[in-house]
Amino acid sequence: MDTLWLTSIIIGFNRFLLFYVLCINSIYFFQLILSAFSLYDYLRKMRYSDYRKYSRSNNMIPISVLVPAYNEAETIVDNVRSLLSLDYPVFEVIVINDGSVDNTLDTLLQAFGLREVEQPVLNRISSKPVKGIFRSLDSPNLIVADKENGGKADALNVGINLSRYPVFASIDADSILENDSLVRVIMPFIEDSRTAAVGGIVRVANGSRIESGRIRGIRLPRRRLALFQVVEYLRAFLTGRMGWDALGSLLIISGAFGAFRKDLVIEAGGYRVGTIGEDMELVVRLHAILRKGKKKYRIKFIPDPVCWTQAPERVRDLRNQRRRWQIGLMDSLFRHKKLLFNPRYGIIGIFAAPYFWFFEMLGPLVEAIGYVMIPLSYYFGLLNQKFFLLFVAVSILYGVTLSIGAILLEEYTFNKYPSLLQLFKLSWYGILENFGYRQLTTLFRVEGILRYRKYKNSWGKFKRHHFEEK
Amino acid sequence: MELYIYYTLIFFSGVIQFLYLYLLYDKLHTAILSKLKARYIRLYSQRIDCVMDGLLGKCRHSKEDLAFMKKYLHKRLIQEIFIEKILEFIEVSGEKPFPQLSGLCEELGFVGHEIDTLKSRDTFMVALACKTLGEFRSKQAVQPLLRCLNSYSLDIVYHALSALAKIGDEGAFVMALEESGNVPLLTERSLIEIADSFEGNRHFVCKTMMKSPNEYLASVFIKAAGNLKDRTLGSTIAAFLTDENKEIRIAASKALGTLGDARYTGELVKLLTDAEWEVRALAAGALGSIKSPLALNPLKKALSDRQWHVRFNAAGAILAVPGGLKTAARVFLGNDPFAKDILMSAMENLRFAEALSRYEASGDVNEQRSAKIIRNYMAKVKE
Repeated sequence: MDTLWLTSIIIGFNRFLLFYVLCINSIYFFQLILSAFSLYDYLRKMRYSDYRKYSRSNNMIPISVLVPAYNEAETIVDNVRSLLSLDYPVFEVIVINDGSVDNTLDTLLQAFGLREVEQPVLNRISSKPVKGIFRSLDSPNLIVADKENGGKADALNVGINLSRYPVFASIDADSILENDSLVRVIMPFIEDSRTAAVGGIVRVANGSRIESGRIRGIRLPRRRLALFQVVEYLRAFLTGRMGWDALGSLLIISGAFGAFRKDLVIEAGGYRVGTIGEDMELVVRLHAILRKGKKKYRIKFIPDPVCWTQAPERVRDLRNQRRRWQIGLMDSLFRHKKLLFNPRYGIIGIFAAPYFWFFEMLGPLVEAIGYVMIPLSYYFGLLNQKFFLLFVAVSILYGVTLSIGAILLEEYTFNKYPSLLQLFKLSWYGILENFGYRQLTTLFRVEGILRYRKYKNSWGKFKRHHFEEK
Repeated sequence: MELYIYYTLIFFSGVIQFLYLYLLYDKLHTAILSKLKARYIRLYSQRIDCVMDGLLGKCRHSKEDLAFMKKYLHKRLIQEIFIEKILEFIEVSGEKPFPQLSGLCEELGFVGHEIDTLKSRDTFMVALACKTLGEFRSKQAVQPLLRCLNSYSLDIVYHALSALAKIGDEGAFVMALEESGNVPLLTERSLIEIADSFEGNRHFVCKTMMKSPNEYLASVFIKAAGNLKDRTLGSTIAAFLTDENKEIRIAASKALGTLGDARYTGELVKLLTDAEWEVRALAAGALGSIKSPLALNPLKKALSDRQWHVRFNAAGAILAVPGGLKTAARVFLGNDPFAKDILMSAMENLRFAEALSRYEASGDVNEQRSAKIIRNYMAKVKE
């Protein structure tokens, strides 16, 4: 009797899995096609874009670059130097030291000759107290704020309170921006007054030659784990985000690099403290508020390679990162569950939110249960071996098509890995990731689901290395 | 079901193979084209340069050179090379293109070709054609560009208006601004950028557009008038300081600040008590740019404004005005903690330490006393 019950569950789940896989891969494939068209349009637009002219113009929107830092002593100086030399008419860099326990603050004070100044903070968004504000005579557009530890979101809120300009860009302290990244990210604000936020693409810097906080030569990483992530990032950004952007439903702007209209963020209450997915949470909240208020707005994604980051090279770090991403995703979705299937929020409520709930959030769980069902099906004699092998082959082929599609999109458009050797290497890793790497990341994400309550408030960082040693 | 899986396998394998083949074709095609282009550049660049130098009067280009160009221009690649050369020439030389260049582009048929492209249904091609026509500065393009302003694509509207600004025909430009319903959809920054890049009589355009019934356009051109730094426009701009529309008052304050004309200090001082805080803040900022000592006392009062931005701009303005340190010292002797705080912050932000040292080293007893009051207050705060 019990076995019969279990058997019917297994059969039911297997059927569900079949349609689940079909559905998710069809959406991915649709996104791949959509992003191919969007990228083509974007590149054509770049032919007549005036962004170079604007980079020298006095009419450019001044921008505040916010860099929240927690235990970043090793990379912070390189990063700030790189930021200060960005090609942009008027901008300020605000580093917020979120109560680091290493010598992040001292390193900054020494490297830039900073001294403490008396500066009242305009508390437009509530945050933990600021212990001190530091400025430098040599770099007048650099401000360092030292505050009590309160998490990344709290640090960003302090940055917003300190900022002077109407648009702010938040970047991770371990990222490197391209010289013209601010101009590119601000152009959608210049072109269309409805622009509320803009996200940039994030690329993997591991293996590339970096000098004085600048990417001098783009190369593929030497370590396998980072190579898998190159393929993964290409897929996530060039097809995923580009596809969502084309549908007007971009729900994530990476915390590594994104720009926002300050007035709208302040109106929304700033970054939500107490979540590690503050980047996604803010974007989802902006959508919810602006749609509810029936305001016309755009949240855009620009595909130019503008921001480079260090991908984890150790399994332990990758585990932390993926767990954090999964928890951040869940937290954002739980906080805004009212969006789910709610036609008041348009395409966000009808399509984007359900997709993120059922495929992004629950996907790892479904996949993991699927792996468990294979031996169970075999044990109960429910496994049609031929059918099973065909199903596995199709699933893998779907995955490979998407990865290779993303790699080829990169080759057609920005071509940052121009040699055939690089193309073949990336393609090979696009195939290889289906045998081990993908299952590993699924496992880490399942762990994120299981440990959601425990870790939802942590910074969850991994050990970064000095950029130039890389 | 099994058959369906086989079809799927075949389909996706086919997709991957197709994408790879297309990429290889694309790479090969690009390589051949660039090789061909390099060859053409080697063959023709001397003649193209000669024609361009001839236009500049550096050398005399012969009719044969021109005839030779015309003969080969039917080849798309050569045409592209020539257009690229012209655009590069305009960008590198940094000079305003001259009528001969527009004439050459018309004679070689480039202008006609781009005008034809404006009829395309492809918005990207039309926007690019608008931009290129702007670079050619040919008056032949004025009417077709005006028609483009009716497009639903903001990219086309932006580049058509930009091109009209470069061509510099005042009448056409004003008409474009006033009659196109799409122009006000452009952002303020892009409109000011376009206004600043107008190559005809900017004075006339600004003066006309400042009075536009469209208040958004009027405020943009008031700001653009300030960028002209033409003092003769001062009285016209100042007349807008009492306008009913807040945005117009803001624009006028900003423009007068950019102009730096002290004659309008009194009018700007009146705005320090405006009902709208944005106007008060901008007026304070403008007074800082004008640097008239007459504004010091009203600015001192503005340090107690209920709005942080007004206080911040007033503090910055006080410090920017010569003799502002004495006013600052008086504030530190007073009882308003908000005024003291904001002034202190402005001093730190504006790196006022050097100015303070100068006061201390000067022989003037009043200046030394002011510096001492400020130092004492700073020391007290630090404690």
